[in-house]
Amino acid sequence: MKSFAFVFSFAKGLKLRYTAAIVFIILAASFSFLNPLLIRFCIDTVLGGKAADMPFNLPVPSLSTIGFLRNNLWLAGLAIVVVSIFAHGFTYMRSRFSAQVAEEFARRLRNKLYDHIQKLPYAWHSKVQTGDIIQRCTSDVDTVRRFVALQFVQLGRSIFMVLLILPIMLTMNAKMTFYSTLVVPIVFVYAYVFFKQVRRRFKAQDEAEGYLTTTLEESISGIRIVKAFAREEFEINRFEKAALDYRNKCRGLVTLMAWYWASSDALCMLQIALVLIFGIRFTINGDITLGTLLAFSSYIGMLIWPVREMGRILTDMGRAQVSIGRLQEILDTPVESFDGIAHDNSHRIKGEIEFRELSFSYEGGSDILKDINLKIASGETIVILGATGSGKSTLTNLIPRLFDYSQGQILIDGIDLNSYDRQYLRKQIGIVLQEPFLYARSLQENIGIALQNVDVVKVQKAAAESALEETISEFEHGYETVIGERGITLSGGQRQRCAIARALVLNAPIIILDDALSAVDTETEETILNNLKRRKGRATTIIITHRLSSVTLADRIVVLEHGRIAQIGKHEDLINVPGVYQRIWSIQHKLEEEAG
Amino acid sequence: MNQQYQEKEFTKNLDPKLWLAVLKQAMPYKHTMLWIAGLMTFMAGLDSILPLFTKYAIDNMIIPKSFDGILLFSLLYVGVVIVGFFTVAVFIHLTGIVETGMNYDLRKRCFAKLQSMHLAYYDRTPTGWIVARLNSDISRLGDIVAWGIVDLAWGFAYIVIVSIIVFTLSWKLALIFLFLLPFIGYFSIKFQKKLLVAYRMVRKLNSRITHSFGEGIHGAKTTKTLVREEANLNEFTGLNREMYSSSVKAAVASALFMPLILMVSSLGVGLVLWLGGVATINQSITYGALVAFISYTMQLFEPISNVARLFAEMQNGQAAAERVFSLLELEPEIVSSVPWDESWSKRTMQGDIQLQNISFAYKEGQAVFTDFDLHIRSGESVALVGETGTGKTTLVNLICRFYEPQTGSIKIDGYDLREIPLKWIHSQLGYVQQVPHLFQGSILENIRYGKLDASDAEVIRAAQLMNADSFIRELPGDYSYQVGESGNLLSTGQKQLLAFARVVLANPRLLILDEATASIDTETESLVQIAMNKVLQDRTGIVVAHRLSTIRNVDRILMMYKGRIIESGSHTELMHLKGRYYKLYMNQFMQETADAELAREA
Ligand SMILES: Nc1ncnc2c1ncn2[C@@H]1O[C@H](COP(=O)(O)OP(=O)(O)OP(=O)(O)O)[C@@H](O)[C@H]1O
Ligand SMILES: Nc1ncnc2c1ncn2[C@@H]1O[C@H](COP(=O)(O)OP(=O)(O)OP(=O)(O)O)[C@@H](O)[C@H]1O
Ligand SMILES: [Mg+2]
Repeated sequence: MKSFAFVFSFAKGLKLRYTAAIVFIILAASFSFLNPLLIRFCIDTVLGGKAADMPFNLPVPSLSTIGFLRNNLWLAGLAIVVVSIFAHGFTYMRSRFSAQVAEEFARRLRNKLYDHIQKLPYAWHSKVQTGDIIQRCTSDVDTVRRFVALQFVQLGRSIFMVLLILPIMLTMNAKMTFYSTLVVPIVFVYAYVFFKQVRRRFKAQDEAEGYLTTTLEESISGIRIVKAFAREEFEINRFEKAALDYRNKCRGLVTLMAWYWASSDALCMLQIALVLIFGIRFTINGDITLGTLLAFSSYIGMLIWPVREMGRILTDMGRAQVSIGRLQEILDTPVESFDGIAHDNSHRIKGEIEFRELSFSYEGGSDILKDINLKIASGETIVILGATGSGKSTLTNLIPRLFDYSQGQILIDGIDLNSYDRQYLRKQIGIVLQEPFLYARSLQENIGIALQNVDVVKVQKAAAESALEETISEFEHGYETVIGERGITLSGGQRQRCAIARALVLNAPIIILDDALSAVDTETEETILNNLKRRKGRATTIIITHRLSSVTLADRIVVLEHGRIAQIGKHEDLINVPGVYQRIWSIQHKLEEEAG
Repeated sequence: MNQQYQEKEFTKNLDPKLWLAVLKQAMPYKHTMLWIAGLMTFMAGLDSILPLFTKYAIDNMIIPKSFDGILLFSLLYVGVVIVGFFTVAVFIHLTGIVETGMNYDLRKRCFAKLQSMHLAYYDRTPTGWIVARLNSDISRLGDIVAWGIVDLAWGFAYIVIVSIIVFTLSWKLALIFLFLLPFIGYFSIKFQKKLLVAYRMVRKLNSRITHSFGEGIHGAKTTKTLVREEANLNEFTGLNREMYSSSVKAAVASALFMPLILMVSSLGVGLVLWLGGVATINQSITYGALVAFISYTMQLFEPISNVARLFAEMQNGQAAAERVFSLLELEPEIVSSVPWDESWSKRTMQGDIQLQNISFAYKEGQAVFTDFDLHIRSGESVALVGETGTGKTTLVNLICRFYEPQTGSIKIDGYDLREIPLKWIHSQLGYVQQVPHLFQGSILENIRYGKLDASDAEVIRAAQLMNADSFIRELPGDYSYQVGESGNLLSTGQKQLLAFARVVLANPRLLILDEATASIDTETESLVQIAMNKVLQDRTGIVVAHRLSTIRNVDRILMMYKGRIIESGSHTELMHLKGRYYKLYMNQFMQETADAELAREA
């Protein structure tokens, strides 16, 4: 029932078309029942000259009409064609409507999923398996779409057929009806039980396929590591094992299906044989006419296959239910809230940042940040140093609210971060992530991606500030150079500078550079630092680095140690106190003496 | 999206050579396939006989009102059902074997081929594209070949047998068949083609939608920080709208097909009823024959539309076949003339590297190196420094033979790289890459990738050596901590340490470090440095670094500029040279010296 609620929640405004589809099902089925009756009438009455017994108390045609028909048999042929045209025309209409409804449904569902996934908190993205989510957004959506387009409709059709055929059969002959429907329930139950039983196997097959895909993806995306360690054979073995497992699961299932289709076919054929054999007896005994026998044969042919399908559809509905559950799981995960203070975008915040007794832990882990107290003035430049894993990235990721903290407070311009609208807030921050993601598009698009409108001048200015201009001018296509998947065709330093340019282009009041110069040489670094120096004061700047060269830019230096602020102050203050900073500095100092 | 990797349009006619090649892939199953064809012919015989039972019953029992032979009749009918049961079971089973077997073989071969491909191939080929080839395209081929035989054998046999039957029953009425066949054939072929074009469009859009979802998840962090949500959604809804209209178009076209074919068949039934009825009145055919005719007419469309579907599928599958074969026929550009054999595993690399006259460009006209020479002696450790994009990574990639220079030769231990097995080169060298990549799994598994048979203790020792042990111990579950997709759940520096430990565990003869400690803090780095110097003692090492502090202990520093080595020598030598290196070095520390002086004065 929850599944129906799910389907209906996406079906607003589609009900009329769905109803139309159902009406057409009924019309199509009704018309298709006419043909066997027509043939029966022709054979018995027109050709055989027996008195007609009409179903549904239709008026018995007079002898002269029958004689007329006998001489103009083409009329009967025509009637058959006309009835067929109606029946199949209606079938077409119902498919058309149900397809429209289902596709519209799928479209809405996909949009909703995409939108929802984008708005889920980043903590969710960092935990999930991409392959699994993609699978849900494509195959599961498709399963549900098929459910709406076909299964629902087919089920309706099957039920309606049974409801309509039975009375027709009964009016023709009750005993014959009994023998004609003897095996039908068995076929239904057999199909239903079988598919219920093999559902587990289908699931196992799906999982084997999923595992095969994951193995493939992992090994392709890590190909540089595979090659560097000469692990090709290892990967091949692993893949082959997965492929073999999948093959065996498929084979096992096909064999099962082979027996099922064969046996349920045989059951259906048996029912048809029963109709024929008992029909012969009853016809010879004179209980029914030849035409009636043929009509029964036709009806049973029309009935038995859909009934068999019904068993399958009912279990397929179970599959749809599973898919709906998996989609619901995504949609039930609460999105980041997007309410709060949001000035219009031209309003710049001042950029004063204050951490108050802030503690933070990733879900299920111990505290990564502990008791952080720090006030950064508007326009100040802060350099954060600290050991690997001490929580530098974590700290800066909190500012654009990529993760939500639970203890303590972060204030921007004196207002709690949590009371800002996230999107507004993020637009005020230019951040270079430690591992930036570049799009497989042109450099121009990559750098200007945060801009509302294409603005070549701004892009070029940002590129210049990131010391990227000369490099780009050396490329054959300049700014139009399309970079490979995730920037693979750029050198490490080029990728990083591209990300810096992308962050600078907006001229945001807060700039965060997370280890953003680790892959550039010292000369280029110097150029960029100088450019940043020129901007100094215009934006509150937080620079995470391991290189002391950036320290020259700092108004204050913050040293993190195991998630706590160990030291804070100007270079001159820190250099004279024993501590991390002095130690780092002396490592470098020793070098400098050697150089001298 | 990479335009060149979108599915191409293939509207040309069937290419028999290609399909022969596809069929060749199925050769291991030729006996099975012959059996399938035989069974399907037999099945077609059974299917076409059944209406004759009805005819017999009408003409020989019902009309003469005689029960004679009804027992035998019933037994025979049930017999046919039972034989049919076994036939169906066996043919589906066999078809399944061919289909899954072919898929498996093709996957295996494609994957092995992929593993032999050079990196330049991966630079231009999106992962998603490869995955789609190995998943859906291969499945499609297996499906077409295996079930195609079923359709083809059954369809042809059925048409032939039924034709014979109807012509012996009454050749005049059989003419109705001749009249109908072209119509049904025409509609079937035309429609199936149309449908496939429509569905191809749908599939193409589907793969773009899949790509969008993937990019949305991989780039989520970036999307959020750039506030790209709305722009992304707009792009996506546009794509989705296209998907909607193509899908509806395809669905409507397919909704039209069956009704139309059935209407044409009903025209046949009408004609049979009329002309056959007249013939019955004239007593030129029996009632039974008339009834048999009606049922044959009703089923006539089935074999034809099956065969038509097969041809259409083939036409559509042709693109899949072409792509799979283009993958299979790829020539790895980087191969060696000497195959790997066990004797190689006993040889150790000395690490004498000689590059002569190397010219290299990723893209024509954008040379990274021209006439480049370099000699690194066995046991020597050298550092590559220089501005970003000058080709440091490229250089080490060439030494690893990940890329092939356009001219010149690279020799290791006096052997040309092209004349020693790739596997030997790669098993002898350890390369810590600029972007650390971890596999999904535990920390233990990730480090162990460097030496598959390493014991836990060895793994831990490697981690300890790299100073990674202490942070690992603090993680929940320490060495069994799951690092997440591509190491997402670790900090970047931690990933680098693990990638480093992985290489150290392999104990390579030639160690290449491409900014292996770029994201590691100075203190940890200096500890790693000590370990590294120990490791480098008796082997060749190439270190790429921007932080000059990391390279002071190497034997030789190579200063690179725009793809050339402009200065070479030890740290002291280069400092005395007062050239570019000196400038760089002073640059880095000048400010600190000034600060130090300030501090001292204070
Ligand atoms: N796979 C590739 N395909 C095409 N061009 C590439 C590829 N990799 C690098 N390049 C280009 O080749 C040049 C040299 O790149 P390389 O990665 O060797 O530089 P690098 O010296 O290692 O720089 P960095 O210090 O930034 O890592 C750059 O201009 C880069 O854009
Ligand atoms: N998404 C996550 N889920 C769980 N733990 C995480 C996650 N990201 C980071 N961590 C853990 O939090 C700690 C701090 O990580 P963080 O990335 O903040 O370090 P960092 O100081 O930036 O280090 P580096 O200098 O290496 O970049 C690490 O121990 C890391 O393993
Ligand atoms: Mg970090």
